[in-house]
Amino acid sequence: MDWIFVAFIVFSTIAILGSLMVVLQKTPVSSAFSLVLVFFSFSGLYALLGAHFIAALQILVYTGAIMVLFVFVIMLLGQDQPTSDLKDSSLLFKGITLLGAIGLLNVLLQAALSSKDIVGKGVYTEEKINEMGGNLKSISEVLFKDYVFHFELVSFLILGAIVATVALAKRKNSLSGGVS
Amino acid sequence: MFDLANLALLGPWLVLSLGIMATMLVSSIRIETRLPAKIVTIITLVLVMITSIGLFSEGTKTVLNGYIEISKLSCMTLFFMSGISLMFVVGSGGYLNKEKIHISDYYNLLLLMVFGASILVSAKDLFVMFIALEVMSLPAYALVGFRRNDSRSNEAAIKYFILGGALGAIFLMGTSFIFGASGSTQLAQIFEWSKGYNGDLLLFVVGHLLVLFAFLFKVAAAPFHFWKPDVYEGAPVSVTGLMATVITTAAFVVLVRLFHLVDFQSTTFAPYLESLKQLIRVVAVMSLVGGSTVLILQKNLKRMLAYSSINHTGYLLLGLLGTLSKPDQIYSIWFYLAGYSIITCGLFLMLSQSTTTNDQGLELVDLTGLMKKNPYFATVLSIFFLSMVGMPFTVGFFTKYTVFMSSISAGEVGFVVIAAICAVIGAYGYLRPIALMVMRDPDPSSASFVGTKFNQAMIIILAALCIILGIFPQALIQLTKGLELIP
Repeated sequence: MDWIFVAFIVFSTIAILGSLMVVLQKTPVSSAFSLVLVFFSFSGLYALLGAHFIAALQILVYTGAIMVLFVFVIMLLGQDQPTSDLKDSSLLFKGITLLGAIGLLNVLLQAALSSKDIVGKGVYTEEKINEMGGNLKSISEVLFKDYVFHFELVSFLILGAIVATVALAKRKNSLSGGVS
Repeated sequence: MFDLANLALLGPWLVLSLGIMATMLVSSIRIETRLPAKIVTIITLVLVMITSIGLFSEGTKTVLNGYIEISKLSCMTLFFMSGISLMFVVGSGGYLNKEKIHISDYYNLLLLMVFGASILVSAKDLFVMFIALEVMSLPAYALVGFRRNDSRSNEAAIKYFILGGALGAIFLMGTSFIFGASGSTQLAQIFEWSKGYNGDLLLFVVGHLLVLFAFLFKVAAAPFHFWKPDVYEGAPVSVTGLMATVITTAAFVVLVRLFHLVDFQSTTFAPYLESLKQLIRVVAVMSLVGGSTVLILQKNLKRMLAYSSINHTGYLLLGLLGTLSKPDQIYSIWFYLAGYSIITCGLFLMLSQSTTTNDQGLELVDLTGLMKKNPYFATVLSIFFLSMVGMPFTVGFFTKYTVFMSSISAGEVGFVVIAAICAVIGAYGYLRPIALMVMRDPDPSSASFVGTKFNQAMIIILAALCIILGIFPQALIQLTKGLELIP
């Protein structure tokens, strides 16, 4: 058996179990740390696909920056009491949710399995990436050439998020009298 | 590639982004008042309207690597959305004072929302659509939560934010499936792919349905409507109005584009078209029946208008059904959106005149006996409610008429009958406030309505538009008949 295949199985099992744990854990902190596990195994999957740069970014940005924020917020809010919404909900609700989730999973799996014949190899094959001079070079080439408009648009998204957060987090709505 | 000649074609978007930065700058120079930001916002929106008129004559073009389409459809929608936003900016100053919303971030977020909507209606790429959807929605989530002293507002903001985030994820997942099937995210290339394709459809269909569900949620078609009444009730009245007009218009234009994603002439996709039509029929009937029956049970005016908008989504979906058979029928949808937005804008500007704080005085009983207490207000409000009903000589009549004609021409006579029955049921809900205003004696404890002069001027313009377009709809219909969907 190919070692890549074995690694894929290991990483994807950890990812699925980890994301189940994120939902099922009772304390927020253990949910957060299960999410770290998921991010690590994702990064492994990216590396297996040959996307080393994305794999590194995944660890730096998600596990490093975003999860620290998560844990920080949990710490600030003091939400370390074990709570579970699942306990309060009725059996009927649980059953319907489970059925819905399984149905959706079935549809998505069917679609993904049917894709074997359709999806060809993309433009960016391993040879092409090597020819362009590596992962980092080809990503920046795509990001700042073909997708530069998307890139610039995202800056508006971030601007909106900042302004919205500041506006909502201001202690007072009013600074003085108004205008008509 | 970019070149300078294309820069002029980006006029409206450049003006909007400059306006966003200018509102931030002026609000940091004088933080104690919102007036400078308001003036900058008004100037920006007027300039956007002018520049988007300027693009009418350009014909159909794509710019920015083909990601943005400049066509009559996108420019007219942009013109219209900025016009409606302008009405809200000018007309809701008194309301913001009353609710003590004095920070100028309000205008900044409003412009960002319009910017997102403007990109959304002209996007020719699924990724651009996704980012634009988020640029439009993020400010909206915050604006919904701007009445910070009211727990309803906070709850609505959280609810809207979580649902919106989930929808964004669903849309993105659908995009990845479509990309997997067709090899592109650009609408034009997906259309080209569908022409020559004859293979397994499952991957594409699942992706397409996920993308469509995300936008059906956004326009709140039943059964995806549960968030809407709560969010409408919680948001400040001016923001609710903006959501009902600008966001609905943008989301619906995109929905039409997404429904026409593939070439239905090709034999591979012809069976899929039939099942898509079946989907729209089910959703449209649920929205029509659900919206109109729950509408007449409501006691709060904002909740009532929320159910009314769900009902109107049903009519719009009927128009969409027409376009699936005959793509040139898109004018009926656009005309309906325009008429509905004019009426809704007027109604929400009138509701924002209520003198009670914290949006308390917006129950149906607060309208009791207004004809004696405030005859001018009651008359104008009646005009808007009659337009909602679809009375002849108001714009509401012709919007319904064009949509019905468009679906009859597509052979959907049975659904037009259902829609007409629902219109009658809904009419009871719209006529009840009028009856309360006219037939009862005023209750001294009920709320009173006083508008600023700007607010009243805007309402007069909108009421006049309602009646003028109700008597001479030809001008606008002729203009919209030139609209076409370009794949």
